Amino acid sequence: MGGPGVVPLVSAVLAGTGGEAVTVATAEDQLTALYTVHYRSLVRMAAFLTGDRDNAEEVVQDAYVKVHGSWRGLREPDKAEAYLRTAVVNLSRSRLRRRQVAAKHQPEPLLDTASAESTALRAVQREAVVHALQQLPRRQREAVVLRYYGDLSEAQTASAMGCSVGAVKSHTSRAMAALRPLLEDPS
Amino acid sequence: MTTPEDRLAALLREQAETVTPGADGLTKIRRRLAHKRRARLFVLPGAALVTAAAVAAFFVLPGGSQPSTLNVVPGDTTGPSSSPAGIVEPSPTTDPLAGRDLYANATWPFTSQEQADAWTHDHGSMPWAGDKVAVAQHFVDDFLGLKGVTVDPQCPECFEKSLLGPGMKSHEGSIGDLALGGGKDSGPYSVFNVTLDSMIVTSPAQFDRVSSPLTVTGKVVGVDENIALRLITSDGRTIATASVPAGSGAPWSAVLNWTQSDWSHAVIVGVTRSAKDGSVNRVIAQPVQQWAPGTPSPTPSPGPSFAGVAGGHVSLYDGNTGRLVRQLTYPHDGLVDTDAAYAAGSLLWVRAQPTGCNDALYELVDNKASTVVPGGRVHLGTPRLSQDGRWGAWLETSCDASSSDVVVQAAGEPPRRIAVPKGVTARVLDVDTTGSVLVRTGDTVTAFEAGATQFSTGVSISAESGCTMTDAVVIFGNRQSRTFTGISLWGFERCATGVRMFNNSDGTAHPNGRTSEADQVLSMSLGPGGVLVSYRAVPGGPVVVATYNGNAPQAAGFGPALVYDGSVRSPSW
Repeated sequence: MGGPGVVPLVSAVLAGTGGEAVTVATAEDQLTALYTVHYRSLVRMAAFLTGDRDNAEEVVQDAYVKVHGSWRGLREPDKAEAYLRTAVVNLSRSRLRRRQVAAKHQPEPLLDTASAESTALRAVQREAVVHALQQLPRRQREAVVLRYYGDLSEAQTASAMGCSVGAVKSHTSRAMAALRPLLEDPS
Repeated sequence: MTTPEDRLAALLREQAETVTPGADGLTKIRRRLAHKRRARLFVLPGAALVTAAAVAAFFVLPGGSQPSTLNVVPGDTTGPSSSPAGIVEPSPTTDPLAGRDLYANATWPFTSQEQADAWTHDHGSMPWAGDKVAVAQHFVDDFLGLKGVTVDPQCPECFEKSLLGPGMKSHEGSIGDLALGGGKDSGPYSVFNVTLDSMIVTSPAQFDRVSSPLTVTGKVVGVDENIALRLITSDGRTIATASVPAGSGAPWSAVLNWTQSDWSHAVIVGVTRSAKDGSVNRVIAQPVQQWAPGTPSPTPSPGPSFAGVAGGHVSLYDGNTGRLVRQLTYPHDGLVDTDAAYAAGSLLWVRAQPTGCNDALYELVDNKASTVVPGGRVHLGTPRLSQDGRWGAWLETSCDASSSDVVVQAAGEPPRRIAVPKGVTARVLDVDTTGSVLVRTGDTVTAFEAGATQFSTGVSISAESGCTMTDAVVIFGNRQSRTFTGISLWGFERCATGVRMFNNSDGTAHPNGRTSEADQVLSMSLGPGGVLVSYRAVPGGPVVVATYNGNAPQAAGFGPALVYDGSVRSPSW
């Protein structure tokens, strides 16, 4: 299961050909490098986590700004990737929370969502899965996005979510139980 | 053969490909970082002491149905937009905020674009207004007047990470999310509200137009606390205060009264403090506007809400206006919701197959749904909830209709069943906060004490021959009224001459005491002093509201009457 999400930062950006860390990079260089390698995948991850494409970029930009002030002092520069990912998770939570609170205050009638118009069965299935993904409890959604889109290990997912590996397993298992009916093999 | 996990990963990758970030992301990040550095140098000479203030410039768009966030950079005319396919791609747009008063719904310190523009030309006494952290801290110190709360420079908009109160460790507190907005990347910033998931104001809504007296309602999740409420005008005057105990997710309500009218914007501030040391626990701030005579009516306080079934799903409706508030349930294909009860924010409802006999009963408490009765070979109907939402009662009938039970159950307790006599069609009318139930069978209403399991132990009243029972309430002596013992049942009956009220008066089942007002009875409800009845003594005359304490049929048993002109709600409400 090759993940497209977050490629190893150090090897791609901050390490020399011999695998040694480049220590002369300025903060600006680091920003550019981190942006080049991770921005797109983090925006896509944020879009999954928030269910809001329009604000996904802003969440990720916030994360870069937040982490920027700290990465000079990082003892392990390759941790910047993990910091960024954690910041995106946390900022997505914050964004969701604000949105939910606002929704509580303005209880507009909820309209049924029209089903996706698509002739391709695959697209229909994808829409259904994405929709179901957004209905999952927040932590379950985070767990499956980080695990199966970000292609992170359970330990990495736990670190990004700020919880235990056991909790990740539990969240992932429950999420998959909910999604499994939508993931039946057409063949 | 791929696993579901593999297929999920593949689908997510495909979906991700439809999201294409704009090309100017790095530029925007750099601008934000540059702005942050400028702001720190300008406002905080001691900025070296502040580590990496993360000033993510965002703006909470006022007045929208959802708080949208936008990066607004002077001269920036591009931004992300969604294509019909949902693909985010850069596209030239005009500034959507051009010409708008970005501060129209802000709370403090700027409440209009004019004020913000004036600050741009002359910072006056607020040189700090271009810095988020400083604005947040000044809001806490100067406007809210809270001591011992330090805004975290790393996240001024996240109060929950910023409480450094006495005796508390860093990041331990839970104050709320502070919504700060600046119309431009260089500010100034103004506070819009402070929200918190665990303590919310449900009414009035943000930016509602309000008038005195104002009923404020809300919910607090967690331990019981005392909420100190204040109404603070945008110029910093506290013009109304109230205090209300709250907690455990139960709704709370308090009334704010004021006489001052020389204000337009204000904020309802709720603060809870630690019983241990008095330090601030939680803060919320809900912005409102003053209703002015001659303008559209102030936003009404919410009336009682009720759940109704329409279109096969349950929705919540405003009890005053009948307006749809929101849809509550979403049954899957092939299932319909058939009946529901709503009380104290909880919902109890029946989900059924349109044809067949396989009903289930569900409850929704604090937005969490759970199964009360799993789908089975039964018909379920007439679910009812007690006023506090703790007790539920419903009718359970076998598929062949050969038997039915009234089932009464409290949260966390086993169900209690009262078998209905064979051949009798029953429906549950009400269940009270002790588990007593009122059941209607034909034109007879029967009241059962808490704990009753035999139908024969109930106390009944019946409509007179030729009349139809329409509604009833019950008073339990020594529990709801100290003036008598036993059960006092009061009912409406609709007869050829109109609607009238009657009661069993002495605890037995014979329906004496029918009102002499015959066809003029309008409504009946159970109040703190007995049965509250409204009627017209004279056709077309004023409405009389009288309290009957249920003691005796004598005139002495009738409480004080209040006469007023006005309408009353129908019994069916």
